[in-house]
Amino acid sequence: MAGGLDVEALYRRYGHSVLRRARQILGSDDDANDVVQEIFANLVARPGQFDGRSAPSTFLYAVTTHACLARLRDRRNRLRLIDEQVKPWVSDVAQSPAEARAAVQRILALLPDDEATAAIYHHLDGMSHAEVAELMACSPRHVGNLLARVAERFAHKEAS
Amino acid sequence: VTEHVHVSDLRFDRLLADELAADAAAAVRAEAAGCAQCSERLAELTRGRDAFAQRPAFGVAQPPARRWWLAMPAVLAAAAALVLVLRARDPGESERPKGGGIELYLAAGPKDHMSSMYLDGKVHPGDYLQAGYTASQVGFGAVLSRDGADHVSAYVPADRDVMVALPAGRYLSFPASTLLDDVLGEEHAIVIWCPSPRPLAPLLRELGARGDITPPEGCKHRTVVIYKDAR
Repeated sequence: MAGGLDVEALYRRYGHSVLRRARQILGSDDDANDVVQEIFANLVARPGQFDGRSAPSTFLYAVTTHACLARLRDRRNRLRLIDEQVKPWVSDVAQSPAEARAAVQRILALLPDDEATAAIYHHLDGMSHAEVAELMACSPRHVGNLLARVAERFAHKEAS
Repeated sequence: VTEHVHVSDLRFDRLLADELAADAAAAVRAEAAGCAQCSERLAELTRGRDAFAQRPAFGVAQPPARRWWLAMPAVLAAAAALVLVLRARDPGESERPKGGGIELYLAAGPKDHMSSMYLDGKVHPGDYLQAGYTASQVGFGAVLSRDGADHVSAYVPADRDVMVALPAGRYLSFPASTLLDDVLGEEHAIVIWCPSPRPLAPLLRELGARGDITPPEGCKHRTVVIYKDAR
């Protein structure tokens, strides 16, 4: 127990979900395992960061997303990503889930935090607008706006 | 951008974690049953959960993460007491906390009485080895060993060839302790902290060759010689 929080139990029950999502977002087993370690080690060190007001799944989805985005925004990664040929991931032609996920991984580091988070929840986790809104504590309309902004941003990039 | 019509991973994760009320869980299962792609996804996530369950414990049930280490600076400063069990080698430049605010600790003993080991002066098979640290920034670390039979291994992490992530803080424990085996004699144990994750293989090779390591640039390490005898 860490400060009344049973981190071992959380790890047992939710660790697989944290690992899977980190893999999806980062596209790397090693990085994903590091994120799992980082998140649960941080919970041991600072158990107060989970106040129990939300479901553990909600909390862990958020911290996993945050930890992965932080990695993607690492300076080295950012330079590498910017140097890549970024392709649009929203177009008139429906992409396969695998293609969409690969494209999202390439561009996440370039997005503002709220847009990146919404894109991860919607495109990688397959959440509806309502589910994304619940996790981001905003309205489904705002989620729609965020996702539309992301689509517009990269459609514009494609045009340029 | 179109709305998804399949069951999301979030709902499946909540189902697998038993977070949902009975009616909500039944609804998710019913939706999954009516959609081949959803059924396949649920089966995939279930397999992932079951595979993860085979992993070793995270290690948080080991000795208290913070309280136990509060006594360590005094113990480490008291060389006369320390030498009873753990003879610290001549500390190299890399061992001395400086600049980066990194301090590394290493101790051994019975699981529930690790600090007492410094009093009775013995390390035995079945005792535990635990590393701790103080760091002003997030980093990565490992605990490495060359035992009395000159066998080299990584104690932490034991399951992969790269360092574990360590949050910043004072007197924190590494995420797992190690149960010492029955190989007797002089064991060289090393705790290392680095600002970025490093592969362990080159460090283990050097430890095997000369009983110590050359820390990568920016890293700190402490080498301790443990004398292990039979009970």
